[in-house]
Amino acid sequence: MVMGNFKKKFSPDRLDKAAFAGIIALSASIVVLSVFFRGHTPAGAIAGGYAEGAVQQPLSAEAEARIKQIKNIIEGGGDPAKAEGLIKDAIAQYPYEAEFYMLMGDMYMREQKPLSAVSRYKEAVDLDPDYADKTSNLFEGGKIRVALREAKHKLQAALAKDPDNARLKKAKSDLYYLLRRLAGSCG
Amino acid sequence: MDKLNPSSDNFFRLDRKDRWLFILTGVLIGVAAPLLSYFGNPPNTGLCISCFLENIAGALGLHDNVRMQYARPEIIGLVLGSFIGSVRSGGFRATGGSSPLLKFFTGIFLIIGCSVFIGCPVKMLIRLSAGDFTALAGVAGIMAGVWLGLKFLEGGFRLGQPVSMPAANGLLVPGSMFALLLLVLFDAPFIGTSVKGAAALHAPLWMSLAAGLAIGGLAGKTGFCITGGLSRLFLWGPKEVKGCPKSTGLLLALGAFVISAFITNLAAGQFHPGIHGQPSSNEDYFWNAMGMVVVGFGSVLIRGCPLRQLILSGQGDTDAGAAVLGMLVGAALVNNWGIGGTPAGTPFGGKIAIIVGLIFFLAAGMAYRRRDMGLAPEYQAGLD
Repeated sequence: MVMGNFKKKFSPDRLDKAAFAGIIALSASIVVLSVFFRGHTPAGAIAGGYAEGAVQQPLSAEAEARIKQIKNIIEGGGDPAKAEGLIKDAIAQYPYEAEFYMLMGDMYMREQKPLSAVSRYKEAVDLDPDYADKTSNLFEGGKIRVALREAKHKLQAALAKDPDNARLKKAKSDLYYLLRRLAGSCG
Repeated sequence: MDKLNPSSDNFFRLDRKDRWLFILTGVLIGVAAPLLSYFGNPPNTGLCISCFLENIAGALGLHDNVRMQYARPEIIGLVLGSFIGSVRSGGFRATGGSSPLLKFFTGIFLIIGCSVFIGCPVKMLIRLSAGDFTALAGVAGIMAGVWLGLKFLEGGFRLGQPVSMPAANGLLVPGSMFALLLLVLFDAPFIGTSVKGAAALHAPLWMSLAAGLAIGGLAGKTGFCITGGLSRLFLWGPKEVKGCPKSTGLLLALGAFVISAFITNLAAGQFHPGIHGQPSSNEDYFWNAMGMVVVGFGSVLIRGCPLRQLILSGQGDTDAGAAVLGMLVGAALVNNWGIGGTPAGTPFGGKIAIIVGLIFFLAAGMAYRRRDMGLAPEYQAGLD
């Protein structure tokens, strides 16, 4: 009887049927997304470390000492291979410490490897958005922009020769991502 | 506008004074928004209802994103400007009872849709006028959303006629905004203010407030609404422009807005044409468009885009006030759940939220229909 009353009251027309089909299709798409793409993070998304809104944790004394040591080598014109080795060790020990990635980017810039530098700068910015935030003391926009400019020239030339190269495509994606980060966002 | 009342003899004619008022509204928004960016607001975000509501939600402690806390005076100004304008013209009327809860929930999804796109419909046009062609995905999306919403309106969707209420009800939202303004002016310690991030970027308080007041006053008088202008075209076609003054006016205002924003951006050195490296953008074009589908769809169902809801709430519409509160809740959820779009793309949660929003609107569209009736009179006469 209840069903009878419901049917009498609700006689679906074309719009209802279309909307109902839409709801079913959208619900199915949620299932598909959840099953196949749940763990998928967009290229450049923060994969660990500091979330956008989180308060940054202070560095440990040991990490600070290492940063100082590496900076002394780089700025004093010391052995780049030694500095690179120290940074790699530090990254292995402190994988969520953004400054080591920035230092690695700096190293690569000195070695005139802007594509590798951009990749490291991207990781640094992902871990600590302050590097791309012009309101922050840590802002390194000028340095990153120089790397982006040089990387862009190299990329254009490399992609012209090998347009299907996955590594180059990833580098291009990182480059545009960093450009957007530096351009700013309301969110 | 009183002259646009359907019972008026002048309903089918837009006189010269009204025409200029619509154009002035568009020009004011188009000039003020890029200038606010020039004087400190985030790039391409001179005026954005969703971003600014996220900032206000943060300032009120509704979320803890340290980069998104600032009681944006533009929003306060919009509501107070529309309130003052309506009181001065005698148009202030406390009304309610037109499905306020539906409007509340719709408000939540409007902000979710905006945050996935990274901007409200106003910002969409600002981005476009600054040369950000990725915003075209949003334009396509909002058109699709408006079209979808209109299908339900034509199919008998109705929220119910609002009824008059005691005036005090209509004062609640403008009163709250006034209280927030006082808290900002007296630098209340519990109102959050970001020292870094997007919310730390802002034009001088007086400038933001003045812009908000002026835009609120004019938008209240003209009924300026992004989705309203688009929906009238869809509903009645290009002939509508000749036939109905409000449609003509809204389209004039939209055109004036985009052109003047383009000129101002150009003059201020803020016009950077391209698709890569644009502020407040990402390359998830499909999800950007879907975000705006949700915004267009929901805005048509509740008779107005996020800006229009703020304006209406200042004029005493308590249902729009419920939508504004919903938008504030949505702004908090977007940050607490991390579902808004970022330069990296659209997060998984944002995609799910968009789909849930569409399901919600489709279900609401079915549930609120009177199948034996066509377009409700309140939509026909006053579609915003």
